[in-house]
Amino acid sequence: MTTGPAIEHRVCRRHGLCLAVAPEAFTVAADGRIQVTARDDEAAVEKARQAARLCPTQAIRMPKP
Amino acid sequence: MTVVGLRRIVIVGGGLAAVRAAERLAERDFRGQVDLISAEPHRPYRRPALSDGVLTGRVAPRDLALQARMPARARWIHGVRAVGLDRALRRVRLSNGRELPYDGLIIATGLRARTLPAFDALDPGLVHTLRTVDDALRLRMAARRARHVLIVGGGLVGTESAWALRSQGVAVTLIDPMPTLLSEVAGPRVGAALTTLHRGRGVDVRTATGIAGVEWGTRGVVANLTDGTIVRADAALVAIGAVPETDWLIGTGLDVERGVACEPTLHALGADDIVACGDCARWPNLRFGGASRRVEQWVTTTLMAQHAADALLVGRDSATAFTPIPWGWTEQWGMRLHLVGSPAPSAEHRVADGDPEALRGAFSLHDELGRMVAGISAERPGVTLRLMDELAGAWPEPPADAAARWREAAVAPQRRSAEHHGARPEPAGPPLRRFARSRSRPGSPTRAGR
Repeated sequence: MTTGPAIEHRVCRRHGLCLAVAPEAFTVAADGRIQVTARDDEAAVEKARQAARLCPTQAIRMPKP
Repeated sequence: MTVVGLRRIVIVGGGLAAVRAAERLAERDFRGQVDLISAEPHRPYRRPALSDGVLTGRVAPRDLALQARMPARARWIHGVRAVGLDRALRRVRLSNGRELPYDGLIIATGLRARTLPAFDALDPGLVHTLRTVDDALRLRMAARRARHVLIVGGGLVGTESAWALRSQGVAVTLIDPMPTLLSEVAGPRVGAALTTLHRGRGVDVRTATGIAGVEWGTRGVVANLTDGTIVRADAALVAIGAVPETDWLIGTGLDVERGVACEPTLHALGADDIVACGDCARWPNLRFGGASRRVEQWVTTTLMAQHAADALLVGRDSATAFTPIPWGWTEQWGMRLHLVGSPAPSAEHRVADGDPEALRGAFSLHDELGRMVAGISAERPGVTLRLMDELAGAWPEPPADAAARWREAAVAPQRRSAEHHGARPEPAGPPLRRFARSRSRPGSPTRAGR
């Protein structure tokens, strides 16, 4: 079973690049934190994987493929 | 679609570009052998986090490691350098005396820190550069004992290090030859605001100033500055940019002046079986007019490595042009700055909106024709995306056949001229010289960026 991407809020500096790379996988919550919205959609998770690579602080944890 | 006969790929380099290129080969289901040659003893790690993470103590070295899915038949060779290349026999010669055969070669050797000859005579224990994790740990150790550190160079590494050291109570003198800090990455107006920011936090910033000479003092470094003043410090950090690691390619027929020269597809100029990516490579970004330049940026490097791996797999004729919109960032004194577009906004570029002096908001920089060339956002990550959209509107993606047309325009005139003189067309690529010896050559100043 996969668990989908997860944000490490301790590390995240809210640069917001993930929102540009994978808008279908991430959103901004009311408190300003970035949240994961896609857990099962395979295409969205693949885009989230690219966002994880590009994240300036490497704050996105991906499940093992 | 994969080039037939591509069974062994050698990746020279052990940083971000190397690992992302290898990862893309795995994604494309490349089943052959992949050898990665890394001069460093460590697995690939996040270099941008050295100045704003390791030096500040915010990031532990063990958390720097890059996660990647590697090809099934990938092999790391650490602590070894490439010292020569035989393009005819397709072999890379290594510093341990071995030779590695390849069908496809990915050059991702990155940069080495520039040094200042004036500091050569000093005790090496007093002089630092910041390029590797070992550099960062050594500088952090020195900073713990130091009361005063001199930083030469006000680019990204210099200014982020000034923030990191000053915020830990170390006195910092930061000198730069330009009138403002960060002028090359942020332009003169934002650069001026950042200079004010550093001064306000207690960094002794000396702009339009260089090193006239250095000597040993009783406490450490005694630097004579070009403005006639003297700075006494316990240690010095030389942060004046970096030069491409391309000495091993000199004499191979590849153009390595100011970095490995590539075609728009990231194939090395004139080569079918060699691509280059990351900080060591320059290429014409056809989206922005096509001047061949390097881009030292985290995001661009990953995209570039993926593109280079794809280009190698599909071949030179099918590969597309690499046309990214550069995206970089810096964090200083808790302030996030995003830089999109041209990495070198010039003094002529005017600010169309926002208030750069206040370092708040988003603003765009335009050339003399009124065209947007760069966008900068300060503490407004949300509008960075809008700036990127605006840039993409001003500089649209070139047509799909742009790379082929570029090559035709670049290569055809030479061929026509050769035929006109009754000579046979030159074979693809310049004359080969077997195992050219590496020799050092002074590099050109480079632009700090990420």
